[in-house]
Amino acid sequence: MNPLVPGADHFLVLSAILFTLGVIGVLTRRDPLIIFMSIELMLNSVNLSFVTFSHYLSSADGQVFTFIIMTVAAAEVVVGLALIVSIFQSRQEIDVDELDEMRG
Amino acid sequence: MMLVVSVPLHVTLADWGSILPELVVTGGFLVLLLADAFIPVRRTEVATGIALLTILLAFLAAMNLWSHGMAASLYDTVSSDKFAVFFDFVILVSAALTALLSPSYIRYSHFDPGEFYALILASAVGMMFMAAAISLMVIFIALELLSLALYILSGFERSRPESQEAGFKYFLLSSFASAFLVYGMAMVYGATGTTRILQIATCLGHGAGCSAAASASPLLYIGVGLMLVGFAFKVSIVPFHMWTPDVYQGAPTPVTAFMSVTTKAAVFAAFIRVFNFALAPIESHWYGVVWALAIVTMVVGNIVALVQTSMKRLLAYSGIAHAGYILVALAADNALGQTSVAFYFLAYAFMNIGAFVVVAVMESQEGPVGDEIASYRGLFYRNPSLAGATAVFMFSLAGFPLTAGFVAKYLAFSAAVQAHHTDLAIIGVLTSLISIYYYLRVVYVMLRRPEVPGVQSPPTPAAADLAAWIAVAGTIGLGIIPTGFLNLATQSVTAIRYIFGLP
Amino acid sequence: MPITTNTLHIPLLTIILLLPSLGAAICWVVPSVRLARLLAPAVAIIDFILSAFVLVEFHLTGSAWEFQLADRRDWIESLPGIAHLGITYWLGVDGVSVFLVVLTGLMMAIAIAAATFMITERLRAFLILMLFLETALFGVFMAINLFLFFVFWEAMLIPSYFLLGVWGEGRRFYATMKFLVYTIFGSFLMLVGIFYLWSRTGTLDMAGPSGLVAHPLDPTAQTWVFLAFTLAFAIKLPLFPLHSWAPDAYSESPVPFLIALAGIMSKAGAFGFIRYCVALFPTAAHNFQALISILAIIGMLYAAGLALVQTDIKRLVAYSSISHMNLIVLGIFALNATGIDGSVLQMINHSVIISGLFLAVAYITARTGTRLLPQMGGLGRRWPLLMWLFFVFVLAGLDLPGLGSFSGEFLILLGVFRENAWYASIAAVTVILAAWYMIRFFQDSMNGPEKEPIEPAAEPAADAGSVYQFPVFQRLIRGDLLPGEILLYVPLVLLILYLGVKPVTVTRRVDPTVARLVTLVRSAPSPGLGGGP
Repeated sequence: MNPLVPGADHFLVLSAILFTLGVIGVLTRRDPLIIFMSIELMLNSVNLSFVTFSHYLSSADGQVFTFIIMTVAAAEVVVGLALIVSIFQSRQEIDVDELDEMRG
Repeated sequence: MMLVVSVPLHVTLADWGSILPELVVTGGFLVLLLADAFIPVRRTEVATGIALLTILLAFLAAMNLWSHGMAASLYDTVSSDKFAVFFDFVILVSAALTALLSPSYIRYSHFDPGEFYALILASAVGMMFMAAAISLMVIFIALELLSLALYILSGFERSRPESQEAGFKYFLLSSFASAFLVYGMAMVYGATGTTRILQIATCLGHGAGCSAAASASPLLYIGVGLMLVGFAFKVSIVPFHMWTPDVYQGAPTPVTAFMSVTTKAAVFAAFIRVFNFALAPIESHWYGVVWALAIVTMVVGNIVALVQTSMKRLLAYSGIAHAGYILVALAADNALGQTSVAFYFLAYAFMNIGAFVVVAVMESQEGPVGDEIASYRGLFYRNPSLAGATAVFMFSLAGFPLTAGFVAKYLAFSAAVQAHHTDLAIIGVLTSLISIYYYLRVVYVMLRRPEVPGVQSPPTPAAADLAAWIAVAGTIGLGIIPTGFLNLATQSVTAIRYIFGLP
Repeated sequence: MPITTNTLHIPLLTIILLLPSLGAAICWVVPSVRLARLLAPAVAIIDFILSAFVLVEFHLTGSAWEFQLADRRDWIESLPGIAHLGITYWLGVDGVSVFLVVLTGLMMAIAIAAATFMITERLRAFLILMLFLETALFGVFMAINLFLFFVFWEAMLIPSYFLLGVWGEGRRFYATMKFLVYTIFGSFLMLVGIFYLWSRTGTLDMAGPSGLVAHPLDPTAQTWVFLAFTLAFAIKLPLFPLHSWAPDAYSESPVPFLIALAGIMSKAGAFGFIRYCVALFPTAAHNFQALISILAIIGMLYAAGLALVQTDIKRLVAYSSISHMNLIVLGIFALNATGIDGSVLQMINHSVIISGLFLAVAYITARTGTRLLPQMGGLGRRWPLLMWLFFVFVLAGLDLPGLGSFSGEFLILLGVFRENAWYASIAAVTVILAAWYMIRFFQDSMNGPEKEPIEPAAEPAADAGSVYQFPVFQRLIRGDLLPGEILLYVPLVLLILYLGVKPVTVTRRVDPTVARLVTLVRSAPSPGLGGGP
């Protein structure tokens, strides 16, 4: 593997790093919007993987999958933001640590 | 770069026919959304009627599909085999029971009936596709479809902060899990070069058109692990179960009733297709993990359930425990295990939704305290028939003979024994023993004399009463004469095994 | 090997099994409680008459292990192409179970008849549950498929839970939970054993050429499965040291249910020992013979000792029951024909006597308002009829020759003596203890100075509603035995007298079955833990 010519491994490692960053973001951040963005980052890193595989395997499946993920991510944004707005309207704060009506 | 398109690009009428039940439910969803704007009076009744009619039509379509299903349609992405149709039955029966238990709750909490049923049907479409999916892509879309509808439904009672919180928590954690699942799918795709389950199975079995190295690739194992996390999350397997009690408790009770059975059923159907069929050649690699997950799930679910005071949380932990029992059957990875999973969900649909019918009735009669187990005190004296039904569901969930729960559990553990995983069966039996305590505690509370003697509960609403009776009949009927439905489950498993070339 | 026959051509056993449940369903839908109150005992009596037919139709001409009057139907025997589950609906009776079936019919008829006047609060529900319980009890004795047996074994608990939890006295919830925890723990381990048997043999049928009896496990495996089964049966009996649920459950139970519990359900444990533990695991039974015999001896002495010092008459009878049940286990684990014959005979006797004694407890308590012996005295002078009938059961309880239990206990002790003279000698001590506590019970309550009965509780609690609703009385009975109360005693007294004179009626029918069983044990691989060929 020539380190100067980007190959499948480089893209996959980048994708893994992005995914990990997303996971860390979800686990450590407290602002729902940032958590939300981290999840989007995870999904997009998956897209990168799919495109890479699709290219190197000469198979269309991965690219179709990428489009599907993008669409689904958009739908998630719609629902997620709606939920956030709805909560914000009723209690004026959006720190996930404050969402503790239920315990047990 | 050259992209290979492997299938001819046209969709025949037979292709559409193979997803007819899904199409019918989608139609019902659209009709409800439109009609919702035009219903002038008795909105709840009309919306319930449309939903039930849709479910009935879809049920008839599914019955027709039972004998005319296709092994693969729509470019080998959807299979309408008997296994898928069996799960369609489970999902539709659950949806019908939910539609019956909902009206009284809708009136109690004043939410919009049209949108509510539309979303229920939308998520049912997702579930039915999920059960029929033979492509990782379809699994993902179906999962997102059902989840998106359920996020909204969980937060549907906007006046209750718990409901909003449930919706939001479910949304965040579930999307998080979806990302793991889809990343796992990407890895598996990278290792095998396909997203179609049949071809993955062929590939890992060192079949044609696939390098033998695929089944040794680290990508594959990372991918399988990530997919396992994703699936485990959706069916609330410990340690990925954290969202379950909060969401079950916060979501409106009819939604909890619906999702507690159908989400698990749909995801387990896909789980089986992927793990028991596509990944069967590498069973020795994932068995250990699933073994550990099953044990932890059964132990934690049952022990934490012991201390619950809220009925919905109790049922949430009970649901976690049941997911553990079902995972035992999945880990067995044999025909009996798959049959028992299919049968288990039919049994579970009746007994678990039945239990939630009771919670919904209690809540609509007594307000939010109706969820507290303490408020069930003296129910045998206040409302004997409802209490009797609750007792049936509790005995069944606990796995007493002559109920559906016993047969289901017996088959699941038999499958483990048949696969020589006797350890799983023994732990399953012993944890069931723990579960008897918390299920019978509910019955015990109902047997205690009421604080204020002589007070009678208002009569159970007719529709919810019907749902409870159907659930009781199903629970006891499947317990005493399981033969007919067990034969259907057997046929469904025989069909799917035939497709994958297994005996 | 074991075969089954049915010379009758009608599914008699199925009819007997399902009739009570059908009766329960009818009791549920009939409009008035009064109708249910007539219907339930009628169903139970008809069922008893039908079960007596089983005895008539039980022929002694076939070979030993023959299950007669068999009724076999497919249940979920196999999932085609997937698995052979071995689950069939298969009923049949052998020489041992035939008597237990008749006994169940009789005792449940008496119990349900007793309930009609002893229980008034929620009588309909009580009767329905008792009828369901009757079906489960019949099922336990009739089933010759392990799965079916387990289903009924567990199904017994569901009505029991309600009967004890709703209609029990005093600390009923505590007693109910203790009862459930113990019995369910035992039966779940049995379920594991059943799984194991199925995985090794692929069937759950007892009889037939491919049945379990025909294919014993290897000795090591036998040990574990034997222990799992033994635990379930020992708890139900109850065998020392697993008995601690029993005094609580017995003393809090309503008496009609107690007749079922102490009279029949405890016999299900003893029956399980004979039918399953000994027949399926002969080597293990041989290996554990000493251990179980010693436990049984300790148990019978311990329980008899406790019976001596009880002041509560219901607990006294409860401990006497436990003591006698342990004696029955001792007889079974003599593992010879004499001992097992005696045990079966004694199972019938014990059921009759203990039901009579518990009924006497109910009668006395309903008249005096107390269960405490020191508060009684001189009752015999006031109610002579009660005294004389009670006296019959006391005599039977202390093994008077000529009455039922003498021959049973004699056979047991003889059987044990042949195996181990020491065991028999120590066991014989309980006969003395039994005489002691029985006579004390009788003397202190019926003779001696009269004491004033306790007056009814001042505040009529919500529970009140019946003369028999313990411990709160709406009104006490002032007179001697009522006709209904006498009527319940008639069949019991007749049976005691008959069995005292002609125990051979029983042993003649039990013998072939037991002889076959003993052959199985004797021909099993030689004793020695984990040993064998």
